[in-house]
Amino acid sequence: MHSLFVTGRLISRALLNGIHNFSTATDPKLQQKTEPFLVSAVCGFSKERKIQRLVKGQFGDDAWFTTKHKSSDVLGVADGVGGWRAYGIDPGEFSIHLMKACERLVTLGLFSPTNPSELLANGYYELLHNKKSILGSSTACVVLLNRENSTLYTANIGDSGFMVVRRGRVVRRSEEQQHYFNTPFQLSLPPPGYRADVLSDRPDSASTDNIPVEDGDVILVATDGVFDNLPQNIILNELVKCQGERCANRLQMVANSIAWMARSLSFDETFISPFAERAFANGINTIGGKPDDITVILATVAI
Amino acid sequence: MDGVVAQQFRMTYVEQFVWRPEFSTSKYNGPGSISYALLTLSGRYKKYPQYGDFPECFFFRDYGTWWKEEACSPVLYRPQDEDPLQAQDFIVLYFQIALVPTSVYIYQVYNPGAVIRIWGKMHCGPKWFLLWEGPPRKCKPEAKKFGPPLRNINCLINLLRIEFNHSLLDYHTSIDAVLLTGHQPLTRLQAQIIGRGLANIHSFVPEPAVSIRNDSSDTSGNDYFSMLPNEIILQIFQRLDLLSLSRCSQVSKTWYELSKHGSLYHHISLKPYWNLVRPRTIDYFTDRCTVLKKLDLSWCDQSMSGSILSEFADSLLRLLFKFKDTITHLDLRDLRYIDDDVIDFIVRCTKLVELRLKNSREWTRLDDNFMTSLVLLDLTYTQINDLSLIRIMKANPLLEHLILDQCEGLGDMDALVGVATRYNKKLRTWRSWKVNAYSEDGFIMFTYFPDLEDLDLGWCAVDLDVGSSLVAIAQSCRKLKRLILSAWRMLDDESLAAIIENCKEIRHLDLLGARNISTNVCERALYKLPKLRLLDISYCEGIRRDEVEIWTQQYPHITIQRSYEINDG
Repeated sequence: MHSLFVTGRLISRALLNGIHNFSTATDPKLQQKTEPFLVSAVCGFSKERKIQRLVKGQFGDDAWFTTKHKSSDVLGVADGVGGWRAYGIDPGEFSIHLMKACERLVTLGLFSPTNPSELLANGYYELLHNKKSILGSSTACVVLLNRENSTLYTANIGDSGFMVVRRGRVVRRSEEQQHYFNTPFQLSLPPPGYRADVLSDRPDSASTDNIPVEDGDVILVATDGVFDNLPQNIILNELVKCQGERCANRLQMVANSIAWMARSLSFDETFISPFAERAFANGINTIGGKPDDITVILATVAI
Repeated sequence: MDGVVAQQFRMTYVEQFVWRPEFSTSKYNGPGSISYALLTLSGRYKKYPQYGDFPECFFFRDYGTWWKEEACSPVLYRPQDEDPLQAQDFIVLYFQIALVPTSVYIYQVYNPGAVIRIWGKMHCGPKWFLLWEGPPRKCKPEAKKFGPPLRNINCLINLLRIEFNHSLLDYHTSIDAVLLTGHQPLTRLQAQIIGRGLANIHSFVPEPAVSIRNDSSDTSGNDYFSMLPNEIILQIFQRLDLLSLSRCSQVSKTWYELSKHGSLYHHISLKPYWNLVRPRTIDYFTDRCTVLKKLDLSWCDQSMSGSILSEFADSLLRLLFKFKDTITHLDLRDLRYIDDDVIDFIVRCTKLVELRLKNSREWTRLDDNFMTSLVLLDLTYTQINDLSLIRIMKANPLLEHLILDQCEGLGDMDALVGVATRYNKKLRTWRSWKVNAYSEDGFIMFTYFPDLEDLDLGWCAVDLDVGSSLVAIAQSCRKLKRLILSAWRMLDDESLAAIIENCKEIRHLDLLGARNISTNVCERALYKLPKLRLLDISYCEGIRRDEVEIWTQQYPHITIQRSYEINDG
């Protein structure tokens, strides 16, 4: 039925335009869109067992955004550092404002499609201009698909991260930036008076990377709640399922299952999680998952 | 009547949001940020129908009548030429598709009611069409989609100019988006017909024939006015606004001769007639005036296209050259043709007392300075640099009011304050809203200005730890009437207590975003500062909301601002 309609339209157009236009009207290349884009799905959980408030773009202290501009698709996650709760500061506030600022910069087109670390830095400086005094600190990871050259540009600060999987193999994975065990690099705006005692990394200390992508590549952007609780082979098993997936609903199901597995394992006290393994390597004897906020952004490249 | 042209031509109906915001006369933030910025007006609404103080929406710098009451606020040079609706600010918005407008919707998400006029124009066209005007209104505090009934104009427009009068507002107004709807011509021919005004041909009503009474014989007998001595007639003419004066000049030869008299044009204020001013208007006054003292040309650059702007500049150059020895007051706000050449002529006006260059960003240097008697200098949102400013400050010992809001070209404010302490001891106003170039020790130098009345240091110390400088300032500057400390995040009770103890003259105190201020100190400010009228404690998280509600009832003469952002959820 669909093809009949298309053919009918082509014929009528050809008749309208005269026969010499016929060849261009049927040229398949003109009909086809070659611009790459991302199909994405998001899932996550707050570490609190009961749901307190539901704000779009936030799971507990984690925050995320997915947005696009004409030159690129952008995904980002940030994980607010929970230690601030002791100072009476909501750790989720910094991360969600950081992500919102980045999102606005992208929708206004004020970013370079090859430099996500600059985007992160500008988002961070934007927090200083907010009337509300936003305090706290956060790790962050921004992934940007440049449509022009089908390349993924990434910037990562701290222990959130991304993973690119192609036909069952991990092509690229972000590296954690840590000062010492369980203390990641972080962007921060400490309260006045605490400046000297607070770890604060400049936004330009983000590690950047770029990878050419192919059609069907799977991209996972997630906070440490996922990477600390799910061993890489489990994640990989799930990601393989959505190689080349273009249906957002089916992608959503995979994202749900990753987030759900990470959440169940984070409360499992007997499981030897990647976090426990690393703790052991650092001389800390612990076992079980690491209860944390979990955010999963799953995307596939469609060219 | 609506859509007569649309029916004639079967045009398509289009709804569009702003494509590119072009210009605003006032803004909350500096140029480097997208929070509260003009840029946020582009595209769809983000927050409407929520109501609150959101960084995603556009904000003006001032509200209410607070800013008008200050000593350094602009005074009308010709009070008779006042705009009846008193437009204070405007924004110009660019839409992608040119169309015949049917409606304009303004999405206001905070303190609505300030819109007073909407104008429309084709981007390259010469003329602005008034689409709607109305007085400012007091509105309920809720998000409002404001869509006034527009005048029917059968012309294509793609620029909107929205004028504001903030005087009835309780707090900053905020706009989320602007929607323009109308009919788009389908073919180029239609666009040409409408663009040239030929579509109006059907709605053209012939003017009623004016019957000319043949009573010329009587006039000489009944014209008591011309029996008055010329001095008296000039006195009467002096009280007329420019529009009436130009009508008078068409009455008779005597009146025409008198209306040309130079004494009528010592003070010229063209801002209310911004849409009528052309380069030749300025030439006209250059020829007609003998002595020009005060000139207000603010807003008079609305022809937009580049060649006309340079004609404007040329006309202004001729005027400045002729009157360089007489001009004392020069108000050139929001003009886009003030370039380096014009500046070179401005600095040669040796008698200048008041110079306002707010929001003109085309010039870069202000070097050869010949001005020596400046009292007021307004450089808000310009690209002035440290060296030029230091040269001016050194040459003008009488300087009382210095306004440097949002000047991102200034690199070392400490040095500037230092120069001022030596050369400009008479300073009463120092404003540097959003100038982020102070160091921790810079503020202590304000103690050398005992006469300081108006100190605006909003957003100057966002991430600085200033320690006890404020205590020292409070102890020396006891005449302070207006103190703006917005976003001094580390402001503490001790500093505030010192201000309350020493500065009894304070009328306007702004503590926005000081999260360490406690409820007790704040209450002390309310009952210990006898002249306090406006207190801004928005985003002060240490102050309990229920207390503020009690205070508003307890101190009805004080306006307490408590702005807030509602969490969406």
